[in-house]
Amino acid sequence: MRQTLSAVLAAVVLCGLAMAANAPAPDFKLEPLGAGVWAAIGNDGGKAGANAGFVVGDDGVAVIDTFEDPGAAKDLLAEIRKITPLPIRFVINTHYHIDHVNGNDVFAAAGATILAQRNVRNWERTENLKWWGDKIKPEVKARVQSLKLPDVVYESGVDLYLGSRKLGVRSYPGHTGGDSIVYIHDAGVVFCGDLFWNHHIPNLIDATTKAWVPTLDALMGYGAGKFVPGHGEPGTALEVKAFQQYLGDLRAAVAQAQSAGRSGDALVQAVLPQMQAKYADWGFFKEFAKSNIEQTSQELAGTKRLPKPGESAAANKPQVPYLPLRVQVGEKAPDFALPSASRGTVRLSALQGRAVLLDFYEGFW
Amino acid sequence: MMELGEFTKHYKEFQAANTEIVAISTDPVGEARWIKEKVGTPFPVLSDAKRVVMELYGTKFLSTYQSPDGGPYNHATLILVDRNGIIRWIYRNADYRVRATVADDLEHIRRLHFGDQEKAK
Repeated sequence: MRQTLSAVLAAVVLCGLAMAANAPAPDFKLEPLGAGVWAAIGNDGGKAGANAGFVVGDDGVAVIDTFEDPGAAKDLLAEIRKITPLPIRFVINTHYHIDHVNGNDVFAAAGATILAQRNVRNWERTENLKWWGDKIKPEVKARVQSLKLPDVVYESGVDLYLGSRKLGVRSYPGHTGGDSIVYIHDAGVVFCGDLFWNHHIPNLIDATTKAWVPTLDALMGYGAGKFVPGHGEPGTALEVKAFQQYLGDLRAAVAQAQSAGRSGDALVQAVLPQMQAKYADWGFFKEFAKSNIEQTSQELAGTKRLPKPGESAAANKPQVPYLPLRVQVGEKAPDFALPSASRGTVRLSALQGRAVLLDFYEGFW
Repeated sequence: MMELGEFTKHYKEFQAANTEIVAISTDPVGEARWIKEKVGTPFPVLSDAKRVVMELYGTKFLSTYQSPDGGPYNHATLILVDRNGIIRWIYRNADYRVRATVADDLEHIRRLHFGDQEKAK
């Protein structure tokens, strides 16, 4: 009993410390998972948008995923800087979805080389447009089309070394067709990206659940003590098993409804209560439960649209990090007046009679 | 001090081609003055700290870098306006560090004047 009480007290104290340490970064919290291994757990619906993590080695840092928002990525970089002055050497993108790659440029600017499975480079600037549909704003479209791509791509995996520390990066099918996990050998930690959702209903928009179920066997086969999901809290093999069970239950319920001749809305109405009975308390149930049924139904019927592997032209176009101009050749230059560094105000139209070369510059560049 | 310096060095050639250079950035006036003095530009350096002209022309840079006031920067852009106020040439590069050379700029300006002469005939 005394042991229990002291354990509770210790938990309260630790919790208080953790809260104090993480006060300036409310969009995610850092969780230590071993010496120099940290998970950054995003709040559901917060700016971070997903989980990330980092590993501090002998001579540098590797970051796993970069959040949905560059501001949150900057906060993560600031948190890493509080822990170590070592250079950020690598970023591994576990897959292309925007909630895992939108801060890539923040870490690239800090000197990191970005790695991912080959398809991430092919899909990052194209498939990420689909979250907004036809009503995408020009700013958002331009941002997606200029996302920082991986610098190095691999097919099935690569080993990274931070001095003596080994990170095994391996790709597995299931969630998008371009997902990787990062196994920290000496810590017994697997960063799973979105191949594992802990107590959260997954996003199946690009998924092949048939391939995903055996992938989860492979992940459990690492025998790691900690599995960091793309969404939700770090878990153990038990939670990975529970997630595998969810995918199995979903596939079985959809297959049963299909064999009873159901399709479309009738199929959703037949399957949803079964999933609700078991998984209603999981995160994102409202957001994804229904589309999980529809998308799995498409998968089993062989009609599901999946992103296509292969070289994408968008990936090889030069990055265009600016908005389209609001003016073009042949148009009248809009008039303006601005304060001058030396003499009052300069008005464009007052310079007429001469040609004018407008030079939009910043700093000394 | 790349582009402003180059323009300063070759300013006489632009003057000879009847062209004024106008430099615009999001720097506040004080900062613009500091740069003008540091580089010694003979042409106006304007302060668009309120981003009015950035909005008007659409020169916003989408990088996550922010200026000291927290606002966006311009993406480096050259816009050549002829003496009737019509835009005749625009230069941008995805890499903001890559600029047109002064020789390119002057070539475009000469073509523009050549066009004017052709029309006058």
